[in-house]
Amino acid sequence: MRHYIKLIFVTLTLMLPLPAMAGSSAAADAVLPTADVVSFANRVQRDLASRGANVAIVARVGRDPSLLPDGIRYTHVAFWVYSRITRADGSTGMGYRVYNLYQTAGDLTRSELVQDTPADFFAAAHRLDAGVIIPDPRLQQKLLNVIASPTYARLHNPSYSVLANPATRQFQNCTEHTLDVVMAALYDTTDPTQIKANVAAHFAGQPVRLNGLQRLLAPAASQALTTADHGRAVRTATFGAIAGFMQSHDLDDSVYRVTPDKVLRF
Amino acid sequence: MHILKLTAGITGLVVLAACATPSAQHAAQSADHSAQATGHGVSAVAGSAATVAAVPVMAAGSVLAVTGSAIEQVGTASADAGSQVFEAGVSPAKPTVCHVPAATNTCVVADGPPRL
Repeated sequence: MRHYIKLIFVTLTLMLPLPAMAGSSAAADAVLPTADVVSFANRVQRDLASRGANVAIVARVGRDPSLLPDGIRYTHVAFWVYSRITRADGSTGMGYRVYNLYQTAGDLTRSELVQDTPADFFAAAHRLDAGVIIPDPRLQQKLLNVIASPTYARLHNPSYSVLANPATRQFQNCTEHTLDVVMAALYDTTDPTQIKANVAAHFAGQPVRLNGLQRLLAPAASQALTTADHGRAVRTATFGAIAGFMQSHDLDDSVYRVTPDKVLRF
Repeated sequence: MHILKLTAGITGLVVLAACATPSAQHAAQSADHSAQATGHGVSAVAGSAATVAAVPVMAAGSVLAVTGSAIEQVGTASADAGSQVFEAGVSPAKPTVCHVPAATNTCVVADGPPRL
């Protein structure tokens, strides 16, 4: 009986953070002033442009870092593509366009591909801190070939999981989609099954420590927290895991971190 | 104590909720800034609603695209050569490692390590 009561208590407790998740995006509005976000977005753009980057992988801190699992610093990853931008008033300029996979508003178990601006990208940042991977220029060209082709959308799986297993096709999150695009570019393939085989063979996901009860109960808090696509261990794609993969195979030009006043190596 | 640990763990996961949609966030308000940099020029960070088209520069036939194509061909040739070396080193008798079960009685074997 005591165990039963304990379980009910735990389950109810688990429900508490749910509004926090559902409302975290809205709450993020107040985290950082818009002017600071725009200024920082421009700083990252300037930094990328000064290095001649045509395609970069950029990550943001979307949640309080103290609450993130060990080994995870960034919560969202996307491609930044140097582009000629035409605005509604007909004026043009050069800048970066961001290619995102975002959770669908109103149904966090689904996702969609969305293009936005660097300022939009950092709009929900909890801290002005960007993780940056500039791929080798040869890989940048290959990445752009994929991003500009139907393969980019074809590699999107709208079934979303926060902790998606990158070696399977059951669920996907923004980081996994980024990894899939990288793999498609590296191996010149559009075959999702071959991409997953290559991910399983060559990519080491970030371990996330969860016990059985946590894995059992997490989906009660949100279906987006399912780990049904994992075996005994939970490993997911993160910015750090992608950076490590690219560095270990000499696929990167540089990996670093940008803050409002510094550019740092990890 | 265990309950606290468990709750903290799940809370960490819940807040992990990555890839949050911008529609549920505040979109940056068309605060145009411009900046010039040494490698590329950068301008016009605006709200997404103000942007009507964005064309990747490398895909637009710039000098960079030509250079990139030339390099890509070299990279591909290099990768092909690497594949042959890789395959030559594998004994035909070595059992196939199935990385992704594709269907009953079939599997997809991974390629060699990525290289440019």
